[in-house]
Amino acid sequence: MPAETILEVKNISKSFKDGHSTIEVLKDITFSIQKGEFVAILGPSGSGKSTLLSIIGALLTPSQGHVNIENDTITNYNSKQLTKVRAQRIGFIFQSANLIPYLTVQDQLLLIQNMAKGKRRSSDKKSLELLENLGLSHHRNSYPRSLSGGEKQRVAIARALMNDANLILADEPTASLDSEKGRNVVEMIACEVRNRQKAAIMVTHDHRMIDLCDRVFYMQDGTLVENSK
Amino acid sequence: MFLALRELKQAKLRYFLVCAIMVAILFLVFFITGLAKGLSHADSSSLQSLKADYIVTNKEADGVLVKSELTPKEVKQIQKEVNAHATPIKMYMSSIQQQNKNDLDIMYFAVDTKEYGNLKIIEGKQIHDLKTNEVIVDQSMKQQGYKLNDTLEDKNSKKEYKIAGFTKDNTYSFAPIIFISNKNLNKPQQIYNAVLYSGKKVDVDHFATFSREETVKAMPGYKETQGSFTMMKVFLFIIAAFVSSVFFYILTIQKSHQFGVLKAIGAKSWYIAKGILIQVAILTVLGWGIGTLGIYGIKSILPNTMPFVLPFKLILATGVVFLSLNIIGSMLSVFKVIKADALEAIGRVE
Ligand SMILES: Nc1ncnc2c1ncn2[C@@H]1O[C@H](COP(=O)(O)OP(=O)(O)OP(=O)(O)O)[C@@H](O)[C@H]1O
Ligand SMILES: [Mg+2]
Repeated sequence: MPAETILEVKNISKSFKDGHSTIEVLKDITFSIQKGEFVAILGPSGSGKSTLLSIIGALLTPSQGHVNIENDTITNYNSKQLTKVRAQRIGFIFQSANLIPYLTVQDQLLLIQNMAKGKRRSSDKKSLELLENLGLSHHRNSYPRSLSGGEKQRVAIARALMNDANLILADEPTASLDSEKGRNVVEMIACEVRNRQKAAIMVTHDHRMIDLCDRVFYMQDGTLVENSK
Repeated sequence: MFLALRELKQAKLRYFLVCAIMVAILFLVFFITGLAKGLSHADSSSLQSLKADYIVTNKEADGVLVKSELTPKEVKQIQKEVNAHATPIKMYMSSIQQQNKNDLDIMYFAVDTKEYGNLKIIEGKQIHDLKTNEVIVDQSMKQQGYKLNDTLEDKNSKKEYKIAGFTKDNTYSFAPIIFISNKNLNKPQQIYNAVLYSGKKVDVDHFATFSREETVKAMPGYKETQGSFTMMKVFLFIIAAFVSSVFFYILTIQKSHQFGVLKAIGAKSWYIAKGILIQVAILTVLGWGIGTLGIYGIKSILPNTMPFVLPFKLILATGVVFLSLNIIGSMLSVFKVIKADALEAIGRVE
């Protein structure tokens, strides 16, 4: 069975205007990711990792090049279409969990269904199943303030999986955790990606995580190079 | 709805406080509205209740009925010119002798009882059935202890009249009206105040024609009193709208990172803005409801003599205006939501 391409990035460049000069943050980046792959992007601070992830995540538009998600070119979409792409095709995990403070753990997940206007019966069951998988069942009715950092990040993973998107994007999901809890969180992402046959990109600073990933990229001064494992 | 309600539930104290401010302000608005309406009623309800579309007076009175004087000849002339069923009225202040109490100031409306239109009678006879020595009085005299068939003695003329009926909405400058037959007036050179008629507006040469509302507004002090109350209400509305707008605006600014996150995970601006509008609406309607209960509670313990009139229609209208102002004010927050940047969510710690 041929592998299915989830994400295709073609010749992406991005430059920002900074006063009179322009700085080129991303330079001609090309790569693609198949179903079931968990990819790590490493690199020094300021090398453009978050910028690349924002472009892939339909939050920023590139200066040049194209992004294809499941064979649709999103580069020329308007902001309304981009919002829809984020809602339906991408699951985000942020550096800090970024949970909504006044929602219970389960409501954090149900919110995703509510936003999609789908009041599907299945969403209750699905949220419970996700919480079960991530070992959060007993915290179903807790508020974020009563969770530990690792638990919060696990809720964020569950939230990113809730819309059944095929592409998961994570920007330093372990930055605010100690290495043991961090590793635990990355293991969970890896596990979900393999079991559910998704594609995932994780930006990280932590070299100890790369054994959990299928492929590793290094970002250096706006260019991306793959490191054969 | 999903976000709005859950947030209200979680941050009860915060929203309770802003709701309390709304209740306090709405209560004040209701109170001032009731007082303004009550004072207006006590001042001028008899003019508003006149059985006529138009009132003709002499030119010099400027619409102030009690200042106008018409001779019988002039009354005849007006009756001829307006070409409609027209009847003269004489209005004069007097007082009623009372035992062991101060005299009661009243106002006589002397009319042709056969010609005058039907009064709003709440007890006793209609005006057409009055005998010469019988009168119909405003119900506010009941608070002074008067009953049907009681006898009144006029302090000036020493004449006695029997109360044959009670009417309502008939006070002038806080004094109750006594409807009396014009047969009691001194003939034949009787001076009248005005001629009343219903129909189309006719400008009679050398006289002035006014609608009922115009004669009310012409009452000395009326416009000034009502104008001050209106100004107070307007300012209260502005203060209330300002307070709630600023409150929601500050909350929105505090939450702009959160809104960025919501947008990053696919929320439309409208989805977030809708939540704010729903919260504003819920708090306003809740504040309005509590304020309404409060004002009815106060109304029930106010003394009867206090001029306070507050129809529910007015409370409802106040609520609608208040809600609209708050919604308009929250557009400031909506605008901020639209501008919230989804990029904030990525690559940055809260
Ligand atoms: N909106 C912007 N305007 C101007 N410059 C920007 C903008 N966004 C990012 N940059 C610049 O682009 C470069 C790359 O930023 P980016 O956030 O992608 O780095 P990063 O690799 O994620 O770094 P870190 O590891 O510290 O998170 C930085 O030099 C930054 O200053
Ligand atoms: Mg970054």
